[in-house]
Amino acid sequence: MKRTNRVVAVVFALLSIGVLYVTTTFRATLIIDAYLGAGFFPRAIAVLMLVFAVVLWFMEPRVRPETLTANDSESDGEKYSLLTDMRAPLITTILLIVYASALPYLGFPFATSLSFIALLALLQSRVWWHYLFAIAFSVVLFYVFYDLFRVRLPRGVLF
Amino acid sequence: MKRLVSVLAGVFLVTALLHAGGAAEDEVEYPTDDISLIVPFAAGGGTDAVGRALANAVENYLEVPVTVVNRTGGSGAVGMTEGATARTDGYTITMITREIVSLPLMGLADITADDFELVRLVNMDPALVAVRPDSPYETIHDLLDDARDNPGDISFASTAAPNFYILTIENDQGVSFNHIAYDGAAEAIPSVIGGHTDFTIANPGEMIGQIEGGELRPIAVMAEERLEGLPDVPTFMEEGLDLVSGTWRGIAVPQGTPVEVREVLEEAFANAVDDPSFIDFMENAQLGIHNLGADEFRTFIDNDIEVIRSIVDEMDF
Amino acid sequence: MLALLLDGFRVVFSVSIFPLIVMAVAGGIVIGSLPGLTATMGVAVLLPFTFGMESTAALVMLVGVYIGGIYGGSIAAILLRTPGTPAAAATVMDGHELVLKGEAGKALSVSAVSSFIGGFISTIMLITLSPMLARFALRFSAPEYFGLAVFGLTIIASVSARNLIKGFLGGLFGLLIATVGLDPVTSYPRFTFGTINLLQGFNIIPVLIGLFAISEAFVQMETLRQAHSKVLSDASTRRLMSIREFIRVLPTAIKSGIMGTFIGSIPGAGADIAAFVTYNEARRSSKTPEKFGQGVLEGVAAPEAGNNGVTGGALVPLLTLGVPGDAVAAVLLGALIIQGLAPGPLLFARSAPLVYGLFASMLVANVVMLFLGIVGIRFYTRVLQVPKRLIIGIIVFLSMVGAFAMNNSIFDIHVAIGFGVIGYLMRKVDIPLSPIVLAIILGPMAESNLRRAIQMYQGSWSFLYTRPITIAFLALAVFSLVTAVGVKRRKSSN
Repeated sequence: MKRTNRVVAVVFALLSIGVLYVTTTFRATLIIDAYLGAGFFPRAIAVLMLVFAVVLWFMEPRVRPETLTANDSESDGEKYSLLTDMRAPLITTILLIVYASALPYLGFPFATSLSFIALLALLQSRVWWHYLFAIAFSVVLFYVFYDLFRVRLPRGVLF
Repeated sequence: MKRLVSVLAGVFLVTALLHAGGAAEDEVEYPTDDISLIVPFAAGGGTDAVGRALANAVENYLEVPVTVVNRTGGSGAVGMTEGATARTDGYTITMITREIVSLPLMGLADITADDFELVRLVNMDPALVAVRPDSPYETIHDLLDDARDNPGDISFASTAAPNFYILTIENDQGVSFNHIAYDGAAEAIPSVIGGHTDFTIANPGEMIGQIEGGELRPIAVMAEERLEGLPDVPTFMEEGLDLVSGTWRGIAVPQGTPVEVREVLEEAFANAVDDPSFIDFMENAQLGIHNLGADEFRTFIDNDIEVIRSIVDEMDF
Repeated sequence: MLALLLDGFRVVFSVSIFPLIVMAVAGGIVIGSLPGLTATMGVAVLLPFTFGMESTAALVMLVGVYIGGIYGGSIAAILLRTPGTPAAAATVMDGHELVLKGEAGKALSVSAVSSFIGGFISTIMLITLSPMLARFALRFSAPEYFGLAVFGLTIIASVSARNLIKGFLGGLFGLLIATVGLDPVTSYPRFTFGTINLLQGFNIIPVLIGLFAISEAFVQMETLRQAHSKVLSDASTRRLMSIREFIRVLPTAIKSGIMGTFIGSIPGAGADIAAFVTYNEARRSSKTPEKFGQGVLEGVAAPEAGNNGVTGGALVPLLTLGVPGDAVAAVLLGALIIQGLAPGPLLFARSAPLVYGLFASMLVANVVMLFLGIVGIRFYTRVLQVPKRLIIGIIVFLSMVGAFAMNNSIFDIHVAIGFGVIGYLMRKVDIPLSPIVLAIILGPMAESNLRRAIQMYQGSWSFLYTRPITIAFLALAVFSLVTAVGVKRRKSSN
């Protein structure tokens, strides 16, 4: 846990330093704010963040048995190998980014069916009707939103 | 597994490319499909209300569904940019507002009115100055005189920053108020009623309920003529101040839209604005109809650009 | 007044209106339970359909969707850990823990009953105390809003169950996210890196969907590999709460409903803030605050009564001042105007039958919501029996639609995916997610009102100690912080 905390501390410290740097590039606009200005709030947040990041770095994680619930073991960073478990989420993320980018071209029903099937394959589903469900779900969802809620989900060339 | 993913990615790409290649179609019959009307402000606001009422009315004349799509952000910049850069097939039309003039002049948007082909101006609302009923300001001159004596002390509940109504007054009269920037009239009005700020300037439709209920007292309107709904409120002109200001909303399509498509739209919206249901709605909501065709709309915008440019130049020192 | 109300009931139970209420509430529950479809959106989507309707019918339908929508958010929050609206984010903390304990039915019944209690109390207060509530709301100006926001932010301490420092870091991250976009005073584009999509800042809905729903799908993916996780749905999970438990949560629900009404009546403070503030209060006044976050019934009762308490409160400024109290009220304002009615002080005098018809239909809509909520439990809990792989897919793609729907924006889908990854990583390193949401809700309120207040006082900070409500909130903030840290101490020294 200690190592995880230190990584977290470094990430937040870098973030706050980045923010502090960007706030120095803030320029005045046509509208004058004679008092705090646009940079005050982000700067204050970044400074506080830096402080807490430093505190976290030096903090000794205490294991408190009475607060260990089922959830703790799951999210405790060092109990399992991070990388193997993160493979499926990582591939899914890439899949979703491709999906979102292709959405305006393929249209919602088609793109969603394809991606849902891909996701099921990634999760190694061996049940045939899951795949049928994926297609039906995508199509039904499209019509529910498009016609009922009047949300203009993207339509592609074919559908 | 990785192969499947890469194959799928390939399918995505190929279809995308095919699609991009086939985009240039000849437009003969229009409209045959649903039309989206981009409203660059959130559902529930004044622009949204005009947009929805107009969409409702124009459907009868275009004979296809017209769906309102709210694309909010950047004081209208996001929605109007999307509208200006949409496909020029006439299936994406945009409700443009005064921000299309002010944002580019302030460097807050990359598009201008020139990125659109104008279809019709439908609405204009004058700015109305209002105070609390027990306020010492009986006329606009009371307010201006007090501002001259106490520069920067009288607090103005601003519905948006920057507020061109107040800047018009300040520049012309050489006075200054303490601007408190609120996020829309819904926040600014209670601050005046609650006695936290001295006055506000908003559109009649935004304040009529409070005015009729005796929570706010209008002192002057920045229009050429008195308002029908508020015949006792003098105009700035009558008070000897040559100041007219307000907000407006119109319909536009992206630059490059074929003339045949534009003609269909121009006719349909001309009919929609004259539609009794639309007129009823606008009257109920105290929204002013200002009905101008494409060419007059262009002149109207050119005039407004000059007005706002002079204000922006004044701010820049 | 009673006679008017009775007339209102007569209208509500007419053949043309009553079925409309049932449909509207049911529709609202469905909309609210889908990620990204908020009560606001449901009401806005319905608005054009009311153009041609008779005015009572139009308002009844919109209000029904509103009440159903706020409640519906809790269903997905409890069962799937995917709050569809910010207002349901507080319910996740204890609601989903109860499901993990196999007490889904209990959690859902507490949520339905508390939502009903909150909504009902709130409507009664709306009917009887509107003028008083309106005067209270009018006393709020920038300094008071700033105080409320600061107090709200200290709740971060009490929802950071395991690690205070990490909770604060999460909260600060949320505050930072909230500063993206045009600066509220000078309009300078902060942290937008030249993209127009960020000018308005991050929309909270896609961020919320990413942090909770998508990250949950990711976590579920990991557990697929593990040996079969315990069965979450059998006959016993559908068991409702007992009479005893009902009596136990009743005081919490009543108190939260009243608090929700007050918060709702302040323009600009809505269901999301009410849910967190009431959760915080329930935890503070509890004899066993350390159990919050591990699945206690009060942890569901408080935010649910609180957020439904807002439904009546939000109408106070609308009906008495003609000013919308929140986004939903803004749409209702539009509906009133379309019907040719000017909301404001004169509405009661001019259109009393309509107003009391509205009140009566709100009371009835709350009863309908309770009924549908309780009857529905056996159906909702079926969700737990759906194969996990399908549930993951459904969550992921519903999230995509939800992120898109708010603003018809592909960019927002990317935002949701990005925050899905962020939320997943944060859960890995044990940073709680609620503080982030809380900070995104309250950050802009704190900043713009602080700067507004300083502008009003022309550079002086004296508003911090000269305005009674502001002082009260700041004192509450200190108190809330001290008790939260105190609980933490007590916990670790046990």
